[in-house]
Amino acid sequence: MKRTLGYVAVAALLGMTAALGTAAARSIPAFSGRAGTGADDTCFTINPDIGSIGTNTNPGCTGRFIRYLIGLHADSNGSKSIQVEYNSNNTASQCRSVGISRTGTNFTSSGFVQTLILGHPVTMVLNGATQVSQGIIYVDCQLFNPVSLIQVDWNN
Amino acid sequence: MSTRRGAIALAVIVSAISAGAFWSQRSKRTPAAVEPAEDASDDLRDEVRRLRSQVARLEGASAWQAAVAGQKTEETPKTGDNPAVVPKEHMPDELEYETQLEQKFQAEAHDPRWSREANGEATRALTTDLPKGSRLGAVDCRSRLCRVETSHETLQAFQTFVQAALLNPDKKLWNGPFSAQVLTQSASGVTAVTFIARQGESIPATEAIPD
Repeated sequence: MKRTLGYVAVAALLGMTAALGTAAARSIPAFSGRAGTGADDTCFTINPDIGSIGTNTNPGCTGRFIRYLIGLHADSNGSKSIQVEYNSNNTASQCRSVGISRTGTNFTSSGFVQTLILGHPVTMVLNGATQVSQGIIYVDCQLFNPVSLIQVDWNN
Repeated sequence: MSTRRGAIALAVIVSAISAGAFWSQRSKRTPAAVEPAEDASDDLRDEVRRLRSQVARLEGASAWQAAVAGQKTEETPKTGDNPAVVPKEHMPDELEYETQLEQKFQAEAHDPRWSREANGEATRALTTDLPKGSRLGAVDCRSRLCRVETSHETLQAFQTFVQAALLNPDKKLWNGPFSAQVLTQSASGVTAVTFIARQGESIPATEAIPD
């Protein structure tokens, strides 16, 4: 029974992965981002095992929000559906997506989405950022230790 | 070697087909409903938990992609007698996107309860965070969106307004998605319109425009 359950789960994952294989999507590990201010760079530690980046307890890094930004690249204009995979031990942390046009005349943003405590990696969806006129999009997080970001996926 | 690769490829394809059939037969039953046996080891429980998380993530991505695919199908009607000919289209630039939002907003009815309350709240919040020299114009909230007009002395002043009143985590306005767009720029200043979604609602997504 246990073995059957495992086979079914793996087969399901393979099938879904195959179905998603043709979609135009992008994905990057969360450690490709940066702290919002250089002084906060020391507040993050990369976990090389799973490629995540998480807050740490270095002096000055706890008891407050630390900003973390992840720039995303998209080949085409349009509204983006962005998913951030994370693991959190609090509900204070929050992320949003932001889009800015090349000329600085258009700004779009999702609302902030707060983290959940589930004890295992979970995904939040940030709909709202729109790339127009070859502008930029990015994920903007306000993190409160302890929380780790794992991966960002978005439509290209 | 090639025989072995072929066998592996065949196994993957069979697995994928099996998975498709499996999911179609039990679309109502989620992986979260499957519980490991009580005598399962901690390792197995952890593995099931990890797989559930992955499946949930993939399901979310799959649903979104299905929605996008459906939207594209609706937006690209076939032309004439030749079903292979699909009209060209482009994603809107920022002013075209503003026009799409304007049309969506105008199509909304007023929500008697929310509109009045949101009008007042948006006016108070945005006035508080408005930079010196900028002015708040008409504020109109319907059922899901508010439309806000502002004018600014310069483009930099508009950007300061966006940072202070819309992007700042400590802003006075509620936590909702928005789209802020400059409409005109001249020596006399900048005019802009901002659409702000009700908390829990989304800003309408861009729609492709036929060329």
